[in-house]
Amino acid sequence: MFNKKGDVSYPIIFGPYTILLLLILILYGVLFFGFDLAESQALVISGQSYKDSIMLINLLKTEIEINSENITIADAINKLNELNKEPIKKEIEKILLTFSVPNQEKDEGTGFWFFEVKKESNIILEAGDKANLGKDYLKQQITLPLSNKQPIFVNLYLSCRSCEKEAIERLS
Amino acid sequence: MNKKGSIFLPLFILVVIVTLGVLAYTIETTKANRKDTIGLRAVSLLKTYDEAEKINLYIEQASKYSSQKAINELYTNAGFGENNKCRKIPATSAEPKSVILDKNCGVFDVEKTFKEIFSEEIKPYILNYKSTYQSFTYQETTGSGIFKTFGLIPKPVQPEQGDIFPAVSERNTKRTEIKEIIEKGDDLVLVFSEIELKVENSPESKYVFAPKAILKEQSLVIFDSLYEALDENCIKKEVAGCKSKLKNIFSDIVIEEQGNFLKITLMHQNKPIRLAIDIGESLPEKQSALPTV
Repeated sequence: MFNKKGDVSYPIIFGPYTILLLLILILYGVLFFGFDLAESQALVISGQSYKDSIMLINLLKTEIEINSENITIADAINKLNELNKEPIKKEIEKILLTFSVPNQEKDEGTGFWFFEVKKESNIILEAGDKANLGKDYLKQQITLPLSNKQPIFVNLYLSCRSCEKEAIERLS
Repeated sequence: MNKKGSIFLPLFILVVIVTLGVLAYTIETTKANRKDTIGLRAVSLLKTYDEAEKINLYIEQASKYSSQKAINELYTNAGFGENNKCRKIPATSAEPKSVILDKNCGVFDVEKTFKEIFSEEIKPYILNYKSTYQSFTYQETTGSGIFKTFGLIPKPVQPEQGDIFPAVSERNTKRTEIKEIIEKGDDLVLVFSEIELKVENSPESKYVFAPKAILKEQSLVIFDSLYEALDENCIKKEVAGCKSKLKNIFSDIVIEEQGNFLKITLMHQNKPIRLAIDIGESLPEKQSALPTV
């Protein structure tokens, strides 16, 4: 039992200090492991940060047949006021289906490529599908001129739901 | 209090706080001091090349639209611009006007005229260029804000707005203009003046390139061929002989006599070249031909 000479204060000191120590350890535990302070940063750059536009450039330079005439997709976009949008949209969707997506069978996620053209923040052409509740990855964007001298913005991205990071890295 | 052991627990707590605090600080400074991620510079360079490709495509498309107007003007004005000094046979309800190719027109220099019309036409396109370059985004490490506040790790230096990559790309692209025109078979190759792009994460590096636009089936050589054929076979020569020789050289040519003038329509690359000549008058003085490849 307690030492009669000086241990009266023992329960007064020991309890609070122990609780304080536990609180400090919990705080640092949360800081190091909860907020990943101790996590080592990736040494190798992520493929996603590359964001190259080669797929989009090649897509725009691809020739499609519209009204028995072979024109590039970039030229077809320029003529959207004169041409019916549907055939252009269908041709673009045919090409989008040939692009690689995460493998659903291997549970890599559900992903679709989406193509859109914007003029002054208004969408003038859309093609492809979007994943429900999906996020956008591998976004590529390019500026193109129209023959009336106005610029348009063409976007191509992967709309993906529950996509694994490794799958996105592989596609990038 | 027991003198021997009462100081132990508070001291132990203090040591724990200091040790873990120093550990956190060491981790933060190590992360902050890391100068390079493997592949960062290579990716920065690739992104710069990518931006150059995007600029090239933009200029190519703009060139396509601008050259259509320039070519149309040359084809309907005997190789001159709309505001030419040539005499004209006025348009009728059945036929468009015909420009008379003679000394009143001045110097016959199709390349120079094309360059002038094209430069004027492409200027607004180039001035409307907007860069879509995506700069690298850096993730702040957890807790780094606290250390930055106390100056224990440095704050990142943000570049001036005008120096950030997209602004530099736009500014330098807007300065480009056509430098050279080269004939390549049936195509026209337009070479623009150089554009300089910075490389992110490498302040002293730059990438310089000269955009090129290839205009398919848009040739200006036909004007030289037509000029030489007219000069050799028609000027101060018999009309019948002129007509027959021109029809031998150009299969799609239509020649019509109207008083002293011969009205000529030549189909080339699905577009008509219209002009008229006075066989008693010399043609305008001609400048040298376009370089070919």
